[in-house]
Amino acid sequence: MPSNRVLIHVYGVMEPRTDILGWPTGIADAPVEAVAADPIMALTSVLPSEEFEPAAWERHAEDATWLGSVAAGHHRVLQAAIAAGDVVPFRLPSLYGGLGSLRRALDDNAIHITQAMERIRGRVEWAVKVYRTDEPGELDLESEPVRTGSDYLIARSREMQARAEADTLVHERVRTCYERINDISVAAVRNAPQDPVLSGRSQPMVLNAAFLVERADQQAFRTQVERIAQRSQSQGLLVEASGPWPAYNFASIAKADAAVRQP
Amino acid sequence: MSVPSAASSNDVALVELLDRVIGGGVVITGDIVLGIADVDLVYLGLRLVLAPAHEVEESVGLKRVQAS
Repeated sequence: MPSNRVLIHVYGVMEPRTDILGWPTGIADAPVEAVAADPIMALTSVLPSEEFEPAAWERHAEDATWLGSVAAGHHRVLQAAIAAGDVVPFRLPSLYGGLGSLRRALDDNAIHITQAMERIRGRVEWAVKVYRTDEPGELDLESEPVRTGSDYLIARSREMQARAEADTLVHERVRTCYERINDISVAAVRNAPQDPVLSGRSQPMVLNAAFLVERADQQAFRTQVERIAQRSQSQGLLVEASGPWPAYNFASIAKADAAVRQP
Repeated sequence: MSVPSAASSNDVALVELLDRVIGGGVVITGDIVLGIADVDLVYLGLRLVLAPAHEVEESVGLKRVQAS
């Protein structure tokens, strides 16, 4: 049975502008439409409800192709938005049953939206990930004569201790990296390192951080990260940066408050 | 060392994208916003999809260590 319910997805909100007609299409190739909610505008697309209702998300929960294409559509619009101005990204998916409920939600949350807008004004997000390249191999018992059970235990405990010391050293170096990069950012968050199952990389991720950076400071930020990356290379750390991203990690109130509490 | 690049949607890894677009962003409750459980379901689903490819890589890595 065809459903004629309207489903509106919100990509994010920004200050009103008139040039969005030239922007790329969003999710499901839908055009981006502005919904004015003084003093901001919401970037939205009308989506076919049968393809994007909650049940559809459950159906596609294991469908990496579907998720990837939807996420890319969402990100494409926000990427166009930060190239044009400051945007507060909404989480994917943010679906509303009609213009009325969308306007009501924006009105009810006007204070939060204004606060988020102030926090990200003139700023963008940069991601920095650090991978460990010196991961110690398995215990090499052939390098030492191991004749008895106690020989083995001694070798084993020496190995364990060396590994613990190496871990501590990496932990300290990563913290130093994070703090030095944080010096030239407005706010920072450390997210849980991505699971190797999802990152698809064999090197363990030891830092998954996001930084809120003044647009004007981006060159200095990149220079600083490259300097740190060069220095870290010989310490068994691979430092990678990407950006500018819409401020995904600094839009939500709770997360941003946590970021401010970081030393 | 890596050279930072613009985060255009073409060259961003899926996990990186989902981490941000689903894990971040403002949550303004509407009438059809997915619940946390639904979002977790999406993550769980993705793990299941991507796990086999990684397991293959891991076993290759293990062989490399043993050979050296």
